[in-house]
Amino acid sequence: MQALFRKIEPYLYLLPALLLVGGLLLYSVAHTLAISFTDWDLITPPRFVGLQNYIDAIRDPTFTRSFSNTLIWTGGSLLLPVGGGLLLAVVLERIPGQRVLKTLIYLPAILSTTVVAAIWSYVYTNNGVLNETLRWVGLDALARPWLVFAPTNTLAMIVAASWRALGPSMVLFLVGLQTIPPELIEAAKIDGAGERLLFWRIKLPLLRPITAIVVIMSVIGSFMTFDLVWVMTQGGPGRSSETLAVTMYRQAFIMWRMGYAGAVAVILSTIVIAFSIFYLRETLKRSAV
Amino acid sequence: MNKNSNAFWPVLVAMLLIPALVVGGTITAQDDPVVIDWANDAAWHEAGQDAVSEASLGATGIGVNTVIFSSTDSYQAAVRGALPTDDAFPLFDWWFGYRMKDLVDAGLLADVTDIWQKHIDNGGYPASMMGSFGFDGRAYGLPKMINYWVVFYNKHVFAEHDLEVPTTWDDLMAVAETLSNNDVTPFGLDVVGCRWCSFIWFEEMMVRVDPALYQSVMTGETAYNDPQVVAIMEQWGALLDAGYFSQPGDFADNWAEPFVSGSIGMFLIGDWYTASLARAGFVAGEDYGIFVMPGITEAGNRSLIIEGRPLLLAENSPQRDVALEFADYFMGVEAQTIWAETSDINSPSLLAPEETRPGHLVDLANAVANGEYELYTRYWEATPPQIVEQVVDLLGQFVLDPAALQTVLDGAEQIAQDYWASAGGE
Repeated sequence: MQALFRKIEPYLYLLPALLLVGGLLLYSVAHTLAISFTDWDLITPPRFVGLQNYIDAIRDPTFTRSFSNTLIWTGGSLLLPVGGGLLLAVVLERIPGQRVLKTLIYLPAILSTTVVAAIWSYVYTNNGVLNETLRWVGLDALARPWLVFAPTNTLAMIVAASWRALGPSMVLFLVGLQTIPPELIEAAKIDGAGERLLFWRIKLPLLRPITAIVVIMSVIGSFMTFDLVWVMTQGGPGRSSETLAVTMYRQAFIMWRMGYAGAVAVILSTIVIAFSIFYLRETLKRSAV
Repeated sequence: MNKNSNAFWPVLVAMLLIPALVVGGTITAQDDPVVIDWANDAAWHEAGQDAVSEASLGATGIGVNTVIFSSTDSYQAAVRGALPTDDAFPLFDWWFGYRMKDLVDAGLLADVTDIWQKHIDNGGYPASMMGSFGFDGRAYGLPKMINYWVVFYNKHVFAEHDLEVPTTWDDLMAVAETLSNNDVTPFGLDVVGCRWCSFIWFEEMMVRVDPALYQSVMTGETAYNDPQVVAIMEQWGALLDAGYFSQPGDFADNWAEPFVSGSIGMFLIGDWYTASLARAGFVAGEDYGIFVMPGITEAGNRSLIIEGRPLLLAENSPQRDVALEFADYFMGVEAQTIWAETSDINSPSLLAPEETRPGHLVDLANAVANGEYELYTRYWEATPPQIVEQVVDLLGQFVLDPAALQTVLDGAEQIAQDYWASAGGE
């Protein structure tokens, strides 16, 4: 009896976590997958429609536009928070007064997305800080209604999101840089490596595990982009700045097309999971080499 | 052991008897006050509902427990999810017109036609209002709030430029031209921070030219790209081209500020805009006034767009009959007076005392009571949401680029046709 208990004991410790994951995650995933094959408005029983929601989504020009906007978000997130965070980490590592600068850059991360969206909505109005500054420095031609026309509105919102996301990725890269053994850097310097060579050949390859985490988090975050867009433009005007997450929300809670929204959710999740598996596998493979 | 056995039976009997007595008590005490849930997503309604509840408990023995949801979307999802079940909220706020049609079609709402008829007969409500709260002559919602869509004008700006409140369309255009020539934007309109706002001038231009045409577009009898609709939209496009509207991107969720500062002279919006202006320290009657937009044609002079917030009753709620009794009380003068006074709103009841109405709305309320206006449901609720939710995005494109008129109207018509075809031409 005691032997049997010992055997099952570890699984008992796992049970709460398994129940939580099973109940909250797997059930939700299974439920979403199931309703994606139905026509369901919450008030009448779901009706099985096969793959119709997926066909409708792929044929819907708004879905295509949301998809391309989401890809712009992904590209922008890789360039600004990831690339910018790495650049800042490398620069800040070596300059005096870095603690103050790090704090200032990290500060927006403590704000909620809604607050960030409200601040940047004011920045981007026709007579907002950005346009007034551009006019003040004589760049009148660059002043424009930032949130009105595509793709400027999406790019403008990516900048707003990056303002908040830059700090956390910078901190992660700084932590990564601190884990690089100093003797490696010193050895490279003795061998005559300049700053550029040091960065590309020593620091960047050794930062790979951290880079993988930051990239994965950024890509997943950009595919899930919802709240900032919802507050700033609601995906408009004319659905021009809609992302896949906004499309999913609109279909579920405005159009009450739970099945269609479920199909968008499944497509979105499949892309994110496929990317994560592919990227992690490639990164880990290279790290192992 | 023996002693214990002797005590067992009396204890068991007592245990069985006590709950039975309690249940019996609740069943027989029918005269006890009953409190039922009333759900909504407007926290500022709570004080008003509580005050009505207190009065209702005294008058009918029925009170309400206000259940507030902080997010409109989660509120809608929770209410819709519960409606087909016994857990449905017996009373809940919703959106009128076509926004409640799917609930009606699914048989989820209690029929309240009799309550309406009783209160119309005693002069409490205009008969034309009932149509916005139901379909095919039957009503499924009661008017908790009615907002009129009017033009707010800045009195200081009008005084500075010697302008009078316009009474004809030509007057209005002359006012707009004067303001425009003096670097004041005549009309405020935000289609960037507010995607639905694109329909405001669409519906208004339609009812100012031909209200019957507006109605027939809403019901799918006339096409969005019908030549008459095109002509009306061209008229609106000319106003956009003339620079009479604020520019897209002018606002950041701050509609009151440019109106209060005088950079915008007029705002066409629901009378709930009053609350935003009050928060900005702008006083009705002193700083601003309202007027109903003049008709472009004679037929358009009598139109008034209304927005309603209905109180609905769940058909599946076990407390449906109690809810009906409460709803009847809520429509009456006593409840409406308390509701209007506590919430500082313009009661939809024509019998509500004049002193309960916000001062600047008294004349309009009296004009409605005297039958001077035909009431038309706001576009948001006048046609199926499956059409509205897509067409507002197209209308937003039109505001940004009036030259895209035909593409916009053709697109809107395609959306409407697809819906009406799938709905079997309801």
